Amino acid sequence: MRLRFLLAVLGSIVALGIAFETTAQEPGGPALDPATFVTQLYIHGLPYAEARRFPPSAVPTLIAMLDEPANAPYFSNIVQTVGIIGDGSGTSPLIAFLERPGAVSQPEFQGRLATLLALGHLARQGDDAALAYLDAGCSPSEWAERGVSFTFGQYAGDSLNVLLAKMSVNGLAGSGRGRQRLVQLRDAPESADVAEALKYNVLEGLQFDARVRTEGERALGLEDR
Amino acid sequence: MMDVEHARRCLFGAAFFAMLLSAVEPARADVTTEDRNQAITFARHEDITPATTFDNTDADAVMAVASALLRVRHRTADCACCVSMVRSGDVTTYDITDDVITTDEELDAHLASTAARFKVVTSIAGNDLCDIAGMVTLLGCAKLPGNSIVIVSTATGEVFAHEFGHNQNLPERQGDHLIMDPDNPLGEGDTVNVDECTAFWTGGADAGTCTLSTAVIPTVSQWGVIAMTLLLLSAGSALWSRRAISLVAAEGGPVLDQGWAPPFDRRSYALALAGVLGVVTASLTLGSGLGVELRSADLVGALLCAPILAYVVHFWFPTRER
Repeated sequence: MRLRFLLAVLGSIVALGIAFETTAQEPGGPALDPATFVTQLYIHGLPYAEARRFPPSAVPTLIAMLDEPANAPYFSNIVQTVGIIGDGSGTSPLIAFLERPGAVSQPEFQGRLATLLALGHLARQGDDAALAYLDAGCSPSEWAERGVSFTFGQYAGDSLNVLLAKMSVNGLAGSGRGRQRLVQLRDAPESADVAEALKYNVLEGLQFDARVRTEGERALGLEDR
Repeated sequence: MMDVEHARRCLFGAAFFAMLLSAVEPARADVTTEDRNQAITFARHEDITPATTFDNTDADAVMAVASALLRVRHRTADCACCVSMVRSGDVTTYDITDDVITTDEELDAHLASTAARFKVVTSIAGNDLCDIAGMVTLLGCAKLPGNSIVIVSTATGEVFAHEFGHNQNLPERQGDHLIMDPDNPLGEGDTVNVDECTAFWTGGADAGTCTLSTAVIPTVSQWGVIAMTLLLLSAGSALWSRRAISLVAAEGGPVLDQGWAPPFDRRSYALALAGVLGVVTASLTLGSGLGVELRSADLVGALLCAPILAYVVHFWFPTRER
């Protein structure tokens, strides 16, 4: 009787201890599902080397998360993870997300801007549609023609078009496939205003493009930090 | 004979407490007994939308979180720092380039601004920004060392503490729960070592005597070690009790059929369990009252260990057999 009682007490304690130890395991391993991964925020942005471990099958899950307003704080992580995965099925949904009309919140605004960096990842991995979208997007007037009309604070109309062009230059540089266009933007800009607005994006973009082409994934932070 | 037995029990008790204490890492001493305030100035970019984003209330809120991260000892490797980050003056505004930073050139311009230590912007996203490789989106960037930080308005107190650490000449340091490790998910960074604590403290204004508690409640892992120690003690105590009864029988005393089950006296155990639970309750209450951060794991760990400890303690009660 007393033995059974003692064994029951000790057995319960050991079992509970093991259970609590198991649940107390630290996160961070590659076993995180994509939805959990993108809903963690980091001071220096997403751990890109982790993001690339997800297979293309994770893309639909991530794209679906862009339809949920509660995920706005993570939109930037979501779009970048889709881009880093590099599957072409993500390109159209990302563009559709970027071009959604209406006033957006700050986190969503950050997500929209990050979409152009994500397209850079897709273009680098061979997606020609993403490359063409970025190439054309380096011109502010292209955004007006596309009719992209979302707004955030002062960013509407021309100011938004310029900002989107800047981010397109950044994304194009990250693709490592846009040198010709970047050189054109530097040497033969469509106007003095555009040249001035995009000046540092283009100059820094040319340097970054060179690094991406010579160093590959290391330049993009896709190797383990 | 009784005196020797009493001495043995005292020795056993002392050894038990020594083992129990050895399972818990000793609390680390405070870096200093002097409390300090780091006066922090803030300016938000005038284009930030809405214009009320990041006002005095927001600044105070993030400073409170950052200070709590530094001042509370969250785990054994953590240091309770006698330093608070406090807002100095009102949050002002400044106007350099745009509130959305997309190039290193723009970031450098913001960092060069003397408008305030923390310059609050809408977004930092671009290539190779802040010496971080790749197409990055950042929550903050600081001079190392220096007195200038650019930070996104949605950043948490943890980010503010991390970036301020850079200004205090702290490099990044990899490891779970470390405030200076940017690769920890937000919400997990809470730990600084003594050197980092000193850096956060250095240069602050005198704020009186530090009264921080350096005590820390063990984590789940440590509770596991404690439980294992107690289980070993239980087994040792049971064997010791059986041997003592056998020796008494060998010296002509009463012969008791001990069977093969561990020694157990229900009445003694009930008394011991009540006493242990009382001590646990009092300790947790006291710890909570002293400002020690208690986690659910501590309550679970204490409740798990209490029955085992009670089993060890119940050997100290005199019974007819003993």
